Amino acid sequence: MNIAVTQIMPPALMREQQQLIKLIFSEQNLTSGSKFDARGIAIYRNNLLETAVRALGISFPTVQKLVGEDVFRFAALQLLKVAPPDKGDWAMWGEQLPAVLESIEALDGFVYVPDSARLDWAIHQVSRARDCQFKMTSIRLLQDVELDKLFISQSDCTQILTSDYPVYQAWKANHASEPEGYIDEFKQRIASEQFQQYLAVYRVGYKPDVLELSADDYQFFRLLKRGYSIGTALELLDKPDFAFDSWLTQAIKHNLIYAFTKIN
Amino acid sequence: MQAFEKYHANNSFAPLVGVGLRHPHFSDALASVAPVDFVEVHSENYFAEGGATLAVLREIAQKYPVSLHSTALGLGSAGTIPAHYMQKLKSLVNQIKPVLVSDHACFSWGSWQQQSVHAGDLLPISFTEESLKTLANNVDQVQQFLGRQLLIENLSAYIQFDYNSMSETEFLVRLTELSGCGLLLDLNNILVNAHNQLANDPMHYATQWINQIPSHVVGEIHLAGFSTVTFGELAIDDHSQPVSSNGWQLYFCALKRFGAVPTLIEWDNQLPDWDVLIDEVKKARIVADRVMPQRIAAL
Repeated sequence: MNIAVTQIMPPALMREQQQLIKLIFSEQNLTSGSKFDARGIAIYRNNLLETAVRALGISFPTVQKLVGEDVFRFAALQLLKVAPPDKGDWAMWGEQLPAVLESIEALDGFVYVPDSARLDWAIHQVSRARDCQFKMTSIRLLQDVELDKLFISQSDCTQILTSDYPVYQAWKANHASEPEGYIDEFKQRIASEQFQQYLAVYRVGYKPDVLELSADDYQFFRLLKRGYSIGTALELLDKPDFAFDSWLTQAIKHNLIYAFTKIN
Repeated sequence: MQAFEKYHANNSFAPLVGVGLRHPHFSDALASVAPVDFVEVHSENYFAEGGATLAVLREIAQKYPVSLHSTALGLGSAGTIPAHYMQKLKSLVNQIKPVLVSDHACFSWGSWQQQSVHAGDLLPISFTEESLKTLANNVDQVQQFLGRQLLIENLSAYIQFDYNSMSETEFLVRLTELSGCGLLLDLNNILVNAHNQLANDPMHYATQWINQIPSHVVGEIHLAGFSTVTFGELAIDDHSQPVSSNGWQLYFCALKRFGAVPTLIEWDNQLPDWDVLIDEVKKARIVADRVMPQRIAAL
């Protein structure tokens, strides 16, 4: 190579690029004396919004269906303002969309939409996570190690979440081939007081799926995720009738956990 | 023989011709091996750590030589390219073993309201000494990190800088000299720019343009089409149409000048059926057949 790498960046170039970024990301009036062709800036602005909408449509397919194209587009525009993309990979952009949705007035009557977005995001994350499968050989540790010294490492392909709304039914109603039953269930559950839903997003193979958990199963997962040993998690859960065997069978079946590990 | 080895074993005088592979065509491409010499994918679409898309690409790479075309390195950015991005690209390169790796002469990284941003687009750079050194430094850094040469694509731009100190072709040629990169000539981008810069004769503009590029630096050619607009309106490089007649004519000139350079048919929006894309590959081969006998005779 004929050049030396330098970390000192030319200020004029930096200014030029910052000016262009500002014109594209801001809503500055394009006719107010810019040195750039306003039609060109409009093309870049439009590209940005269209790409953002398309990217969010992939990561948040349920939300897109729930809120409709106009509100979804508005949400994308708001998200570009408060949390512009910064990774160079549109698939990694959108984590703050649930918070943006909470602030949109048009969605005031649709309180479940932000949590539906959290579920969409979890599914999106799981679909892209490192491929992993439960290490069956680690199960022998159950026989050899005391529960207080035995841990369960979580699968990258699993996320757990909770909601005050029946977002699982909202998700199924928008993606199942026969959605009618889920729509009815959604209506019933959203009308009930003190509702709480516990979910695990998981992946067996490449297709992510969602599982409704009991409150105890969810809490036990959460304790393990926080790094407690199985013994301590059971103690903190404080539910004498909690069936660890059933929980484990379900966890292995749905690839929710990665392996048993022990402290040496 | 692996797909990768077949690509490098090509010793014919005809250019290798590939297609841009997009998600809707995955099953077609995997159902039976299509008569294309390679496929090109956008690197960022496969940056996930696992999952179906990456698995499909691995399967594709068993059947076809793959070219990785990045759209987000932002090599002309007045700052360093983030390490996390380069690491993801390197990881993908190591897994897929692409025959070509490319990106654009553009910038994408910057900041806005005290936040780092990626513009999500291929933003134009001025053709100045400052800009050239920045781009060359970043290209050099990425090439060293990946341990291989990059091909850098000329851009279609919707704004112009009135303080350029050199032409686009001089800028690109000097970039190859400074960094050791090759060029990916996008013929459609030249035609889009000719239109947007109100060239009286776009074909004359475009042939002049390619005649200023030495043949040894060209590593790939892109062919695409764009939605037509009236004179005076800005044309957008939307890759939504078949290659235009001007595009084919320019390809003829390019092959005459540059020889059997690997050529890609790009089509991203309003995607046609897979068979239509393959027909575009056949058209490219017909153009090449018209050019290459003359070349062979001259040897």
